[in-house]
Amino acid sequence: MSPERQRSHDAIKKHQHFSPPFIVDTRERAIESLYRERYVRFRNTLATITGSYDSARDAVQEAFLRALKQRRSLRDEQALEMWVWRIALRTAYEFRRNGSAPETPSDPRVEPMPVEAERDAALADALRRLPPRRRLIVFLRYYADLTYAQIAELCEVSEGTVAATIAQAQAQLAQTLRKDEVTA
Amino acid sequence: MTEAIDLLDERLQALANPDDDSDWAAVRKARRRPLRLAVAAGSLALAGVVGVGAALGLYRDVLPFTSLQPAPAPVVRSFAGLDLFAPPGMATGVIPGEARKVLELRLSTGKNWTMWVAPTRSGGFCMPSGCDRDRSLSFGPGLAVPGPVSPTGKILAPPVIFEGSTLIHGASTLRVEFEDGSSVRTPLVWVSAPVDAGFFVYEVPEAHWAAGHRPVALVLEDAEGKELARNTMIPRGLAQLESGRLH
Repeated sequence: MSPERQRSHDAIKKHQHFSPPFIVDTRERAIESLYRERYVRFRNTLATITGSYDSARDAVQEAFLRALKQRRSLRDEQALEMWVWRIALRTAYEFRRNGSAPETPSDPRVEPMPVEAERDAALADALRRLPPRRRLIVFLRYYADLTYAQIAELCEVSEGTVAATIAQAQAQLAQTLRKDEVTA
Repeated sequence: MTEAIDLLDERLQALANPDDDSDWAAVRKARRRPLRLAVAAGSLALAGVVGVGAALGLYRDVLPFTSLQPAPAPVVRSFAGLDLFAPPGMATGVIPGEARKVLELRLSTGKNWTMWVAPTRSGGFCMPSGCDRDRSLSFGPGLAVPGPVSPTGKILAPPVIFEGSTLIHGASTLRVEFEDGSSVRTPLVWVSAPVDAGFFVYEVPEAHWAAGHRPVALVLEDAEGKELARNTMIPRGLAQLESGRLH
């Protein structure tokens, strides 16, 4: 087959889209299900890394795209969700490094961190003041709804560290809120 | 303290954005895009074109590339992805940030088909359907069948599209010839340096999907109707698809 003919052949093949039942890819289905069920959790959690819901949305899209492409490298299907979470966190950090970083806030100690701030401005502000690592763990717990064990696996720390971090974050948030309320 | 933490939990939950703007179709579509990009250093291509130039009545002119609409971030990222895992020597050298909208075709489905073009560092260019990194393809048509196809190769839904590029400077029109002897012409859109190439897009009407009416040739013509280049391989892809030879 000539190179040109081969290109034509490949071009047409790759433009076709075959639907099940001819090709049943259970792993792809599982990734799709995870996306449909957990999209909002992924986006809300990644937003603390990328700095905006828009860039978090892009990061989630890209993360699931990568998951689809790399799905054959997943060894244990039971570990699918954590595997996708790892890809998602990496992607979000990559987005942040490559220019999707949040705008620089006027107060350098405060990182922008999208939540529905108008619903609870004081808490949103308190969250912003948490150190990034601690805030991510809070988000993984509250917005991703992951267990301590899962967060520990993702962040490569012990469960005890996760528990302690969340307790510290809660205390810090509560203290900040109390202080702000007194000031107000 | 426990009460305070419970309250904090509630307030944290209430702070989350509940809006669901998920789009799985976009993920799947993006997944196919790199395949298309990988396809054709040679596959580019089309007929009732509504392009950037068409709106301006500029088909016979050369559009200033850098003045065209810049690509949005997802398209830029898509181009950037081309070289992400490229083996040594295989990178396209695409300059994603310079991508521009060259053509836009309103499809029979009601959707738009946009051709984004980005220059490469070696003087060539990339489109969503392929790259001519080093300007080696004088006429590079391609065929896109992005919709569903039956197991027997029957195209189940539009669009069927020819798109592509040319470096032949005199070319002004693409003529699509059909098995039944009819033909249609669509104008080329030329853009200036750093791309300096002509582009075309044509949607094959459903009436021309069937045997006896299918496309048989894509012909580049100059302003006087003189044939400059001809490709019969790409159009034959439609017939081959249905005969199962491409499965």
